[in-house]
Amino acid sequence: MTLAEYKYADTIHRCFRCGYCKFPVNWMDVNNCPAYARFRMETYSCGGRLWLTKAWLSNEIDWSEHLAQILYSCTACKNCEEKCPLRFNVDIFNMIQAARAEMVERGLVPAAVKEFLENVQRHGNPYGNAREGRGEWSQETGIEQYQGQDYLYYVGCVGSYDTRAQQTARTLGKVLLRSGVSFGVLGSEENCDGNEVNALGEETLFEMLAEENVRKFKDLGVTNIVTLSPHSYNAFKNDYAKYDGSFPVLHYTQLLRDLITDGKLDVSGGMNARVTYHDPCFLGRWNGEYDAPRQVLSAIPGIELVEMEKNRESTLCCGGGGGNFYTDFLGGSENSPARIRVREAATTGASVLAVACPNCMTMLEDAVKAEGLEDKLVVKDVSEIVGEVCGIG
Amino acid sequence: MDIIACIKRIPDTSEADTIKIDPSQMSIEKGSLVFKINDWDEYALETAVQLKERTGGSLIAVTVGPKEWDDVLRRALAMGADRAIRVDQDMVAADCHSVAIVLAALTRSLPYDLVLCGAQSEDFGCGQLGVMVAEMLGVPHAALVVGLQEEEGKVRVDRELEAGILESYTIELPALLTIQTGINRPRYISLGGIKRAMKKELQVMSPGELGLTAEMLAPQVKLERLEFPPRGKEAVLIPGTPEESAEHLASILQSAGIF
Amino acid sequence: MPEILVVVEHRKQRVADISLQMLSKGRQLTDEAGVGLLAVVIGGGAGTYAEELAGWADGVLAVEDPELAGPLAEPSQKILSAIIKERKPLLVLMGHSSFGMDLAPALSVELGVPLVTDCTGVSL
Repeated sequence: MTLAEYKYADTIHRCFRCGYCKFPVNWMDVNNCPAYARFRMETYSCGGRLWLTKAWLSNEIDWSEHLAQILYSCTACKNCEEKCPLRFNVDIFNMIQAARAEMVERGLVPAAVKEFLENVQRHGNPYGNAREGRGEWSQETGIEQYQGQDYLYYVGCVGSYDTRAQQTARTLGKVLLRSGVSFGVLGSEENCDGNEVNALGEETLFEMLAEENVRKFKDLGVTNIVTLSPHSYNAFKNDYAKYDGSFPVLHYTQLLRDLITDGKLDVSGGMNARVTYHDPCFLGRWNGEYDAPRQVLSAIPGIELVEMEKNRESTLCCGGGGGNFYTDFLGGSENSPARIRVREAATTGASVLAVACPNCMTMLEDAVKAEGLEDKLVVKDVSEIVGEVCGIG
Repeated sequence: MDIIACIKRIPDTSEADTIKIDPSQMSIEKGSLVFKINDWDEYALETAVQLKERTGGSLIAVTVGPKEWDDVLRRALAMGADRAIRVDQDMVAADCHSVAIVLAALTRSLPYDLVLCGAQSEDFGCGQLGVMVAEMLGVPHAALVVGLQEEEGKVRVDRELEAGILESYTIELPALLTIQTGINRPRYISLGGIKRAMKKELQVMSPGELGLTAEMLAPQVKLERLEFPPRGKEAVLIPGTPEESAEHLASILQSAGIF
Repeated sequence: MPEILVVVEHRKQRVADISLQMLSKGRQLTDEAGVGLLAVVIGGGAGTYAEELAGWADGVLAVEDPELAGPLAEPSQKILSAIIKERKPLLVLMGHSSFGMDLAPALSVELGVPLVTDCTGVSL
């Protein structure tokens, strides 16, 4: 592909690198682009990536491992789209994604991305773990296999395989059981939702996953889906319609809010804690859902909900999006976005950092350890806070 | 340069807990396993594709196996092979020598300057096949190649020996090389690429078409049984904070004379 | 007398660890079976190892070749096949090393004898 064949050839040159893409909404610093915050070089900012993409597709620079790493260090957090004053801002991430798609087609992706995609091709998850182990997280929880219940509880790869995120998946399942929600899981029949595969630019693999999932959901008579991960939520809500899969889908925080409102989930037990909430990009900026998780937390007596300076549209990504929870192009530094974020959370005086995404959970919990904040700050998923309030472990 | 790349399909056993030996003790349970190109062969393929991109000529990917093995040939075609040939014979139970006979016979029927094989396979790990084929073809070889540069009518190769010594030779073509992992970075094979490669030619041949009989393919080495190696008896878990356990580990290593 | 042959590797003026392990294993096998143990060492300075190897083996064949600084597969194959054809050992042990992997499969084809690689145990 040359620049002329690139879908965004007519717009990409319009970025004049004003740098707005690096700011949060309130202009408090220039560090709201996670990759820029980590490396502090223009090349790693959103504008830098667009210029590099244009230079690469115009044959002004050659492909290199470094170029690929810069393109793949974008976490798909969409802070740039929020802040960019130009009209093409809605396509900024699409431009990066299309450039990645070209790298994928040429086979020129960083080793960690190759590993991620090959593992999904073969095993249906980025970790390369066996498919038959995908349902093990739900053993001895009483959570049923999906067979026509009201909701399909779709867990996703991180909740299914990551030891810490499995706890969250179990707790949410138990909370739903307690609330009398009719639901089931796919267990070892569940497959990757493809959200990250898509963000990494592997369009054909995403297409295959989406088609397979849509077929499976239809065969099973799935009517409603509730997801643990905002990433799965995003794929089902925004991308599956193209593959004839328009299923009503909720992120679990939306379902919990409704259950509390309808009096089906009793959180009157309360919890005495100062809590700050971290917006996941794929729930907030990607899908505009900032309220549901806050409504759940605010409904719990005793919880004092405090905001970090960067919240809602200005949230600082945990650094785990776009496959980075696995590929980790932003790790290993005190400027890693997850570490910046937990330091920010600690300054609010909160003792609990609430998350609503298994990727954020793993990224931020590791960052709390790396920062030595274990005594001050505990990372808990919103579902785990609700679980605790209800006496569910 | 005309190149032949020999590849094998092996189970992806990255999660070792999933390997189970079947009741016959002659094989592993394959029901839930996922298969892929042997790691070393992927490096050999990448070497071949890069050589072809630099020098032109043809690249043929070949394998010896049943129908399911077509999938690794499709990946080789997606990677850049011009065409692929599968000799239709289930050789999993056979020894390297028999497979080498088939590959040597196939190679003789094709144009080639260079034959590339992976240095060994991930499943049986014999490390014999390529060098056996070279001997049968009567062409010079080098095993465990970590560097390769083409020259007029020859190739310059590097082999990595024990103790960090690098050995370099110039080998006249035609020749056979077995490729070590790490010689390059095999490209990602996209699903779109595999779909497009469905249009390329994949030829299937029988051993009979190569003039081979069952008698000629009788193995020299026969498998008696498979079993797991005995578990080590002494595993020590070192408790404590990271600092404490690191200190403890250092003292263990020191007293063992390791540093 | 029937014998087991060990192909000795040497680099940087030292007998390789793998060769010492094979001599030790070979000694054990030959003592059990009542056969001889022959060490073969090839290359420049091969003779300097004779005394050390004689401590293990019943016989040492050192093939000196000043042209060969270290053991190279192709000339070693010619030398070894000649020795093996003449002495017809019961068993030949070679290291599964970069040298052995470059040589053993070709030697086995040339001699028409079976080859088992990467062995972690041997018994007669």
